[in-house]
Amino acid sequence: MSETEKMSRRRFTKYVGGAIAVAAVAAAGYGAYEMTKPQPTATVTPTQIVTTTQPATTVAPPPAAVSLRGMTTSDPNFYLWDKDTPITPGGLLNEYAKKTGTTVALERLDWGTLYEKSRLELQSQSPTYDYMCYDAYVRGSYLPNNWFMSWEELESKTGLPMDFAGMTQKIVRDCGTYEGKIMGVPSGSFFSPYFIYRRSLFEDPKLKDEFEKKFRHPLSPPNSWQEVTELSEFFTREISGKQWYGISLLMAPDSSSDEFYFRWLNMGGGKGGRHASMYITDENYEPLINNDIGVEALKNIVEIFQNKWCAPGGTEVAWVDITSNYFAGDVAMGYMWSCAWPGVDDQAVSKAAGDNGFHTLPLAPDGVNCHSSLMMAINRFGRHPEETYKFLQWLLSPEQDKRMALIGNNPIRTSTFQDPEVQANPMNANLWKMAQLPSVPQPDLPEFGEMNYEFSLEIQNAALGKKKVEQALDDTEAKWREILKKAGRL
Amino acid sequence: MPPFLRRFFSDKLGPLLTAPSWAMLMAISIYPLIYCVYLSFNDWNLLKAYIPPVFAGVENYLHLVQDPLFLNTVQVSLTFSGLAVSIEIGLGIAVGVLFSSEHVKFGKVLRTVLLLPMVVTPVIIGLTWKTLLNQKWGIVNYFLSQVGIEGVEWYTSPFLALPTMVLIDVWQWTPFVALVVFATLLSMPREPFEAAAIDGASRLRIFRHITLPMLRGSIALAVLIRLIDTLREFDKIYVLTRGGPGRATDVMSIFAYRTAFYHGYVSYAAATSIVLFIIVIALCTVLLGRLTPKQ
Amino acid sequence: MNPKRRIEILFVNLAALLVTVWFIFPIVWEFLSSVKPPIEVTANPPVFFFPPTLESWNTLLFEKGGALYLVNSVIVALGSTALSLALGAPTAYGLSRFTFRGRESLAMDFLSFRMFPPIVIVIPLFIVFQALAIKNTYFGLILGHTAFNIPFTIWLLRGFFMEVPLEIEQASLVDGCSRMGFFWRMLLPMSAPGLAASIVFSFILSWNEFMFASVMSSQETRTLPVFSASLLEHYVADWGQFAAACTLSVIPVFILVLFTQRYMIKGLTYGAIKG
Repeated sequence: MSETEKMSRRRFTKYVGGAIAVAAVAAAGYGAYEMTKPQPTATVTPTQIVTTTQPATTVAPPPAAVSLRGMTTSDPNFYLWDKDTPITPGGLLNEYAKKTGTTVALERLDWGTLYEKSRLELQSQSPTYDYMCYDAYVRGSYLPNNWFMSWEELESKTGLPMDFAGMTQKIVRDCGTYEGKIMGVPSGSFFSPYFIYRRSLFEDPKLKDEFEKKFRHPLSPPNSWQEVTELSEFFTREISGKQWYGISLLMAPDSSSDEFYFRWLNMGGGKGGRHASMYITDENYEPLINNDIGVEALKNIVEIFQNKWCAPGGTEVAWVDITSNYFAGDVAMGYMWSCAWPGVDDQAVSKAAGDNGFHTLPLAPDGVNCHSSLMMAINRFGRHPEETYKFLQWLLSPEQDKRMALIGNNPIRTSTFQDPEVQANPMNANLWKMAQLPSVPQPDLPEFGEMNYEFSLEIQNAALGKKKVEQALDDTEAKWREILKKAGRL
Repeated sequence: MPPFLRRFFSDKLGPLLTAPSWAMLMAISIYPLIYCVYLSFNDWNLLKAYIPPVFAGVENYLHLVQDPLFLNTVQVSLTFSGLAVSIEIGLGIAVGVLFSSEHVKFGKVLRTVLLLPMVVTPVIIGLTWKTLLNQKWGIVNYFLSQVGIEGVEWYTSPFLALPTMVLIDVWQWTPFVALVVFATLLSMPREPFEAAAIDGASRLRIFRHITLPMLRGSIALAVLIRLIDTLREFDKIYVLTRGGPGRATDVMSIFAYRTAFYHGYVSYAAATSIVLFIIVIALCTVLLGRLTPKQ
Repeated sequence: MNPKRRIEILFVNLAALLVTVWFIFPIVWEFLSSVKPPIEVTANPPVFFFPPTLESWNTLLFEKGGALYLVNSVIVALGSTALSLALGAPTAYGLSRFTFRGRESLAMDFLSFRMFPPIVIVIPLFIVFQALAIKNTYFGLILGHTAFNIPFTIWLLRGFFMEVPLEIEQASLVDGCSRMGFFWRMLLPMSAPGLAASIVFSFILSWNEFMFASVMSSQETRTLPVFSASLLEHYVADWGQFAAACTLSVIPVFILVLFTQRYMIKGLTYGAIKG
C-alpha cells in the first residue's frame, strides 16, 4: 500500500471513529441539557414610558418607538403594504409609522425558504419575528405546535376590536382556528381560484359557430369539467397565424395534485370528511380519492395532457407558468388563485390586458369549491405581540382593507366586498361570487405535504402513460396508508 | 517571556499557526457534523414540535438502506456526477489545448470570458437556464425550431431532465478544467515537444504520449474537485426542477432538503446527509490513492 | 505560409470563437432581457429588436430593494475574504514551511472540509448562532462564509508558499530574521499573485453562497442570491426583473475577474501542479 493510501485510510478511520465517539459524548450532553432546559415563558411587552400628569400646555411624549418585523412570502400583495400609490401615498407602512411611531419591516421570501426559515425560527423559539405567514394547507404543521398567540386574547388585552365576524368567515374558521381559538387571519393574498378567459375569442362569431356545430352547445365559459376539456381541444389551434393553446395544466410535483383536487372536489368528491377540512380522508383517516369521481377527474387531466390540448411545459408546469403562459397572450383560458390576476389587465406585463372575462370554477350540483389563504399569525415568542396586534388590527380594519382592495389586494372583509367601488372591479365581483359557493379548506394534516407530493408524482405517471389511471390511484392510496400508518393515524 | 515558553512557541510554531483556522473549522464545520450524527440517531419531526424527539438508535440507517427512494437518489447522484465529470474533463482538455495554441487572437479576452460561467452564482445559473430552456418561449428552442427540431422538453421530460442538468453543469465548470489544463500547458517545459517534433512524431502521438502524461497531475486534481462538488450539488437543481420531473433529478442534497423541511423527517434527512458525506469521502479516498502519480 | 496552415489557424480561431460564444451567450441574453420591455421577455418567438428600457432595473433596484442587497453582498464577501485570509495565510505558512508530525494528513483534512453536504451545516448552526445572538447579522454571515472559504484559501496559498525557494527563507533566517518576520516582510509580498488569487476566489465563493445565507440573513442583511431566488414567486414571476437581478449579480464579479484573470489562472494551477 502506498504512503498516500495508508494515510488516506488512516485519516478515514480516524474521522469516522472520532465522529462517533464525540457524537456519543455530545448526545449524552445534549440529552442532559434538554431535560433540564426550562420551559419558555411568554415574553413581556416593554412598558411604555408614562409621564406624570403635566400641565395642559405640554404634550405627552410619544410611546417608546417600537420596531416590528414580519416574515411573509414575496407574493404580489405583500408588496402592496409599502407601495406608493395615489390611494396610499408613501405606502401604508410609512403612514402607520408616522401615526404611531411603530416601524414595521417585512421580510419577503420565496415559498421554499419561508417554510424552511419559519419552522427553524419557531422551533427554536426565536424572538426575531413578530408575525409570520403560513399557507393554510400546512397549518397542520404550525397550529398544533402552540407557536402562535390567540387573536381573541390579544383583542381583549388591548381593547381594540378586530371584528372577526366581518372577515371572510370561512377562511377564519377553517384555516385560522385551532381548538376553538383563532390563531390566524387572512392576509388578502388569495382565497379562491377562479377562471379567466380571453373575451375576444369567446365572443368571436366565427368561432362560436364552429364550436356549436362541433360540440352541440353554445360557446361559453365552462360549467363542467367536460366542457373544460372541449374548450381546451377547441382552442388549441392556429388563429391568425399564431399558435394558441386551450389551457395550461398544472403538472409540476406538488402542483399537479392541486389540478386534481379542483376537479375532483367540484365534481362531487370529498364527501365524508371527518370535518370540513379533511376532504382527502374520512374520519377514520381512510383515503377517499380512489373512487369513480377520482378516476373520472384524473382521466380528464390525462386526456388533455396526452392530446396536448394544453400549453407546452410537460410535467414541470407550475403555478408560476400558468400566469406566465396566460400573460404571454397565447393561452385561451386559465384558472389561478386570486392573487395573480390583478396583473392580468396591466398592459406593461400582460398581452391579455383589457381582453379578460372572469368566471367561477365549474361546479357540479353536489360539488364543492376549495378555498385557502396565506394566513397571518402572531409569534408567541416575539417581543411585541400587543404592538403587532395593534398594527394588524389597523391594517385589517374596514378602512384600510378597502384601500388595500382598491390597489390590488384581495378583500378580506364582507364590508369591503360589498363596497360599490370595490365591486366595480370585475375580479372582485367574481371573487365575491366564489366566496358564496359551498367550499372546503385544504386539509390540516401535518402529513398532507408528504401525501400531496407522493400523489402528484403518481398523477405525472398517469399523464405520461407510465401507469393506467386506476393503477395510479391505487398506488397513491397504498402510499397514503403507509404515510398515515407511520404517523400513527391508521 | 520565560525561556521555556519561548522555546515552546518557536518549536511548535508550525502547529500553532494552524490552530486558529483549525479551531474555527472545528466549531463551524465539525460541530454541525457531530450534531448531524446525533440527530440521525434520533427521531425528530420538524413539523410536529408537540412530539418531543425520541431516541431511535440505528433505525434511520436501517430504513435508509432498503428505502427505494433513497437508493434511487444515490443512483441519480452517481449518474449525474459520473456524466458531468467525465464530459467536463474531456471537453475541458479539448478547450484548454485549443486556447493554448498561440494562433488564437485576443487570447486574453477569451480567457476572461471563459472564467465567467464558473464565477456566476449557481442559483442565477439555474434560473437563467430555466428561461433559456423554457419549452415555449426559451431561446434555445427557438434556434432549434429554425433548423427543424420542435419543442424540445429540456428539463420537463423525465428522460432529458438529468442530461439537461449535466449540460448546465458542463457549461458552468468546463472552463475550470480548461483553465487548469491551459495554465499547466503554459508552464510545461518546451524541450520534449520540440524534440518530438524534430523526430517527426504526428501531433496526435505527441498529444497522447507527451501532453497527456504531463497533464495527469492537474487532471487528477480537477477530477477530485469536480467529483466532490457534483456529489453535493444543490443550488442549480433546487431552482430548476426541485428533483422533478418525478424523481429524475432527485440528487442526494435535494432529497435530504425535501425530507427535512417539507416532510419534516429531520432525523432521516440527517442520516441521509451522513451517508452522502461518507460516500464523498470514500470516493475521494479511493481516487486520491489511485490518481496521485506514484513518486 | 502554406495554405494548410492558414486553414488550420482559421479553424482554431473559429473554434475558439464558437466556444466563447457558447459560454457567454446565456449571460448576454439575460442582460438583453433585462433592458427589454417586461412584456416582451417571454414573447414567442423571441424578440431581438426592441426599444431598450430601464423599467425592470428600476423596479428591481428601488422598489424591491436590490440596491441594498447588492451592498450587503459586497460587505459579506469582503468581510469573509479578509477574515479567511487573516486566518488562512498563517495556517498555509505553517503547513508549507514547517515540518511536524501529521502535517500532510492535516493538510488533507483541511481539504476534506469541502466535502460537507450543505444541509449538514444549516440546522445546528442556526441554533448556535441564535444562542450567540449573531444570527441575522453581518458578522454571523461573514463567520459562516469564512468557514466555507478557509479550506480553499489554505490549499491555494500553501501551493504558492511552497513555490518560494527554501534558500531565500534560510538566508533571511541566517540574517537574523524571525520566522514570523520572514512571513510578514518577505513571504507575503513575494506571493502577491497567490494572495490575489485567493482573494478573488474567496470573494466569489461568498458572493455566490445561497443555502447558509438564506437561513442566516434577515431583510437587512440579505444577499443577492437569496434575493434572486425570492424573485421567482410562487404564482407570478417577472422574468424581466429576474434578468436584471442576474445581470446585477454578474457585473461586480465580471469586473473583478477582468482585472485579476491572470492571477486566477495562476491560482488554479498552483494547487493542481503542486497538490
